[in-house]
Amino acid sequence: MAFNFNWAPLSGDPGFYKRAEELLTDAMNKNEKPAIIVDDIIVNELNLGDVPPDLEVVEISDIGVDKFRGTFKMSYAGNAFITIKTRVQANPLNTYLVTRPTYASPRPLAAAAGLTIPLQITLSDFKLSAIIILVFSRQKGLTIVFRNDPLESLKVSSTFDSIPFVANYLQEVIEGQLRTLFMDELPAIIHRMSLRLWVPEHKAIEERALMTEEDTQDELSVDPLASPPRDPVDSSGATLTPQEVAALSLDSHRDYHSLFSRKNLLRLATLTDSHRTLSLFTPNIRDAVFRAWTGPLERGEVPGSHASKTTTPALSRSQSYVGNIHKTAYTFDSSSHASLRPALHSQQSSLSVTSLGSHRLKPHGNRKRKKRVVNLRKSATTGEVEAISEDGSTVTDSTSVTGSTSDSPVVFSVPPGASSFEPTGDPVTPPRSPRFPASPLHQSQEATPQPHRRQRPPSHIDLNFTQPGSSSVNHEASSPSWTGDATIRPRRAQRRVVKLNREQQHDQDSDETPRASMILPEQRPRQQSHHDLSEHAYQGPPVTHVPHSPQPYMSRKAALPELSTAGPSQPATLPNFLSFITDSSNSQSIAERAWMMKMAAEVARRYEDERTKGRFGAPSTPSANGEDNPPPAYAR
Amino acid sequence: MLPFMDYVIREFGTATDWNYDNSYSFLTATSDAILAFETPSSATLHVSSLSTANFATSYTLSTLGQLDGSLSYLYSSVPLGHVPSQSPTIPLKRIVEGYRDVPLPVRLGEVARALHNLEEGRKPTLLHATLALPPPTALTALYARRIRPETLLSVCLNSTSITTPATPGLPPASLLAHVQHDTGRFSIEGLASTDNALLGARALWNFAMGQPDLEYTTMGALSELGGNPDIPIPPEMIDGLSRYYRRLLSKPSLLSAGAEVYYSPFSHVIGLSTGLRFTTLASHITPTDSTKVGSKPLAGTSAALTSALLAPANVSHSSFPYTMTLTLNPIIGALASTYSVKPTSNLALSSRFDFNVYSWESQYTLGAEIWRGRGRKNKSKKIDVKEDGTVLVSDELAWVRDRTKDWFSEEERLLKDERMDREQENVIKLRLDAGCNIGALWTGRIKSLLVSAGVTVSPVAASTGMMRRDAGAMLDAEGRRKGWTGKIGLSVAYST
Repeated sequence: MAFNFNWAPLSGDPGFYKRAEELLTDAMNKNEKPAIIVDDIIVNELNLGDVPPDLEVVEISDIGVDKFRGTFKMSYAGNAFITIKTRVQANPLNTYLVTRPTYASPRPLAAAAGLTIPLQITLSDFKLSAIIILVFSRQKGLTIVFRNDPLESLKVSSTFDSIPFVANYLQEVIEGQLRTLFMDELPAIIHRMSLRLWVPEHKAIEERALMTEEDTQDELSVDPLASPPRDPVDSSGATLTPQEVAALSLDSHRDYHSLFSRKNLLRLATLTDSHRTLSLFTPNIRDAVFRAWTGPLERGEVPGSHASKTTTPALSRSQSYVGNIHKTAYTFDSSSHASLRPALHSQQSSLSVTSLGSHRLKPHGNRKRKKRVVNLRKSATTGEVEAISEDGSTVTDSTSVTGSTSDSPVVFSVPPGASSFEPTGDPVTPPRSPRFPASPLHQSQEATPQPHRRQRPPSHIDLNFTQPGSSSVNHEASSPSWTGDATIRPRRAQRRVVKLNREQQHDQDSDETPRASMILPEQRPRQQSHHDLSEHAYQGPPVTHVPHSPQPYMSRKAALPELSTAGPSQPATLPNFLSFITDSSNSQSIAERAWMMKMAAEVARRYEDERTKGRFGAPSTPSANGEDNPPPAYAR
Repeated sequence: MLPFMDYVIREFGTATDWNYDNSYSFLTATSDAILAFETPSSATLHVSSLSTANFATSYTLSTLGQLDGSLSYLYSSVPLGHVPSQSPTIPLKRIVEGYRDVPLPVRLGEVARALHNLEEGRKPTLLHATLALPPPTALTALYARRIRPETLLSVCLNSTSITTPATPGLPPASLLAHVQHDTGRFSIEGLASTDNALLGARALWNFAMGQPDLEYTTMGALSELGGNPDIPIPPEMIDGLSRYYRRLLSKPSLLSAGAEVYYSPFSHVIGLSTGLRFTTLASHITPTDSTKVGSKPLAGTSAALTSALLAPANVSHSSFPYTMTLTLNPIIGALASTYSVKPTSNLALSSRFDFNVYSWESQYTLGAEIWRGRGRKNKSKKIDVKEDGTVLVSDELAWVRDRTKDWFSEEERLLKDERMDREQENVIKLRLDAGCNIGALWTGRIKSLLVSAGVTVSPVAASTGMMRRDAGAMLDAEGRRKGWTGKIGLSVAYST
């Protein structure tokens, strides 16, 4: 086993040193400073050098793609250096007296006169030898613990090199300070930095605190779901001209789905490559969830969750585009159930977030849904669908096409409207339809993991819209979308849905995974008329049950129509896993976006509420082991 | 304003003829009093009492966000009953340190010591302890004893109840022993602290103390004391003495040089400084000086001699009193020179220039001390200058004076005037330095309370990035410093 220890990128990132200097400066000034130092300590220059430390693996106790726990023996004799600036008191008697109470002090006349000297200290020639315990996990960041005192020796060169007495004193003091730095401060610093790097939630918190607009701009530029993609390629990887892209009207038909962002594909390629090595590097993929963050269910760790398809990574192209949804906690294959009703009923409340955009309106949505179902079937039967393997790197057209065409009946999902899932155990969202009063909970829950088994690709990192840890979020999110139906025409809508689903599921073996992105293009502006505020405010449980939750969205709701341009800035206030909703690229019309904003707000509010109440551990939900589930997080 | 206990301790020294000024520590006392005065930083109330001639108590209550206080007790083997201890009667001059009129160092000899033993019978001793209540509880104690007439031993104890000292190596308690030996011509001191075993030595040498033969002084003193005028004083001695005093009168000044050194064998702390002082001795040479009226025979020996020998010596001085000092710390290259002057009896000015020869840092400080309320008597008089040049002094209250003339006796009126003066008296101290640090202190009487109110203002030092970040609100767009920081305080003292 070999490690490719990449030392250079640390120094390649221009922002890295600045951040590190800031953190070090803060750390050094946090503690009580010795009296001899009369000013703040400022880290002036920091350079890690180009000689990496020697790492010897002593023990690896836990290893995974996104988690790691091991013990290393590290020795370092590189050319890193750090320069510190401060001011010191040169008169030792002054220092002595400052720290003493005046009463019993000698009170000299002028012998204690102060002389502050600017001091610049350069620490170099570090000789470190340590046993390091390194614990890494995507969620919790990087933790480093030194088992021994790592500092063997270092060279302190300062302004006082010519005065051996002072130089020795400085050396002594600095070594002492560095030891505490290594043992106490450095692990904290590294942990904080790693959190900033890898845990987007943490980053989001910080960003929110900083209110930086630039970051949201940056996010936009790497949005893989942008429509059309910024650097569009077709499934074979050939670059598309703008004309071709224009020809593929976004709203017209599913040809749109054959557009992939080249950047995205490259990222996926890197991702799969990284799976074959021990490399800890993972590309930043927006709206993707990494395995470490997913619950056991999503990770396929449920016993017997072996997908028949794991050996066939090929997915239909449309599938891969929306493929993220397959990894959501609430995709399930209703075809496996003889009784459709429970499944359908349960779907109502647990609509995945991604379905929000399409189903907010009952009559139109239903109609549309129906239409789309027809379309899907058509496409499946006609075999028009092109397929692409989900190993984005190896785009194997021919094989995947065949695979997908054959699989299409299975892979394609029922219109999202049918894919909601209501756990009756949830007190917040009571069953809406009296026709299905006690939905067979077990069945619906059993149903949940099944799509995973079948459709779960072998890759370790799943693309997801929703996040597994937030499984309750999903049904929270979904319930508003359906409460719209329920509140206004509850019975009819549900019945219709049930009918629909019955039809669909009878005549096709469909995947019920909601596909927001597929549906979005079909949204019509006229639906805007249904988006009046009163309707929104009456969206059901989220609002009525949690009126007190302090969400900023409430205020924004009034400004919904104007939000068309404000889309990109909106995610700053949303929970991370919902940010895609407000992404302008995900919806075309103002109405849609406004709707989605609103839904996101409600989802977020409910999510917050549930989280504070600790409801995630509701026994009836798949996330019953909520505590074990990592917090929701999305890579970008 | 001196705390009551410090005032009593000083009075103890005065009562036992200890010359505090003849010490290297007090070389720059004048300029320090005008330039480096402390302003109170909280609202403080002192209640003190010299309950008996030998015993004094003091309580302090101060609040700075939180309440703290202290209890002090003092015992003196020398009766201090003559010391004015009630806040309306304490002369402001004695509790406000200002321009210091350095007295002529008195030369003590064998006879003086014998005399001392003869007189006192036992050695003057002082005990003083203060318990400062949280935070943090600290006990300070002082033991002072005149082991010999020219030697004063004092031991200071400081004990703080800090469980975790803020500075590593700071002992919870420390003891400082201090021996001072003052012979008039020179003074040497030795210090030893238990904290890091710090040792120190100070010395002060008074130049041009060409005082004639010791024996003569001895005899003179003896003859005065014993009331035996039969002992003849050799005329040549009288000549020598008169020469000495004549020279002193023509140039009533004192040049002193001193040095101090500190060393700690444990922490290798080294401190060193030397100093030079030149000061006028005006008020102490003139026979009209009244400050020494109540002084003890030892101090009076030379003064009496002076007045006896130089009766017509109320010579007007060519210039006003002034003091110059120069101190040098050769280790860190710090030079400080001060010049203090007292142009009128109500005003003293002082300036100090600090310079570091290594870092070229310099600082210039100006200060003033203004006494007010002493010219009150002429307030009701109006001076009219008529056209023909005659000056008419009209006193609107003259008739009142005429009427009440007989109400009081002359002594009573004098007492009343003196008391009125005292009550009106107050002093303002101001200082300003090149770094725009401003300090102001007012000390005076309000009713029978001694009140001291002060304020210190200094610009916020925005030198580093850290501070800039912290005090961001205080800075304008260009990052220039805008903020000011300071402290304000009020101290009220009442004593009986």
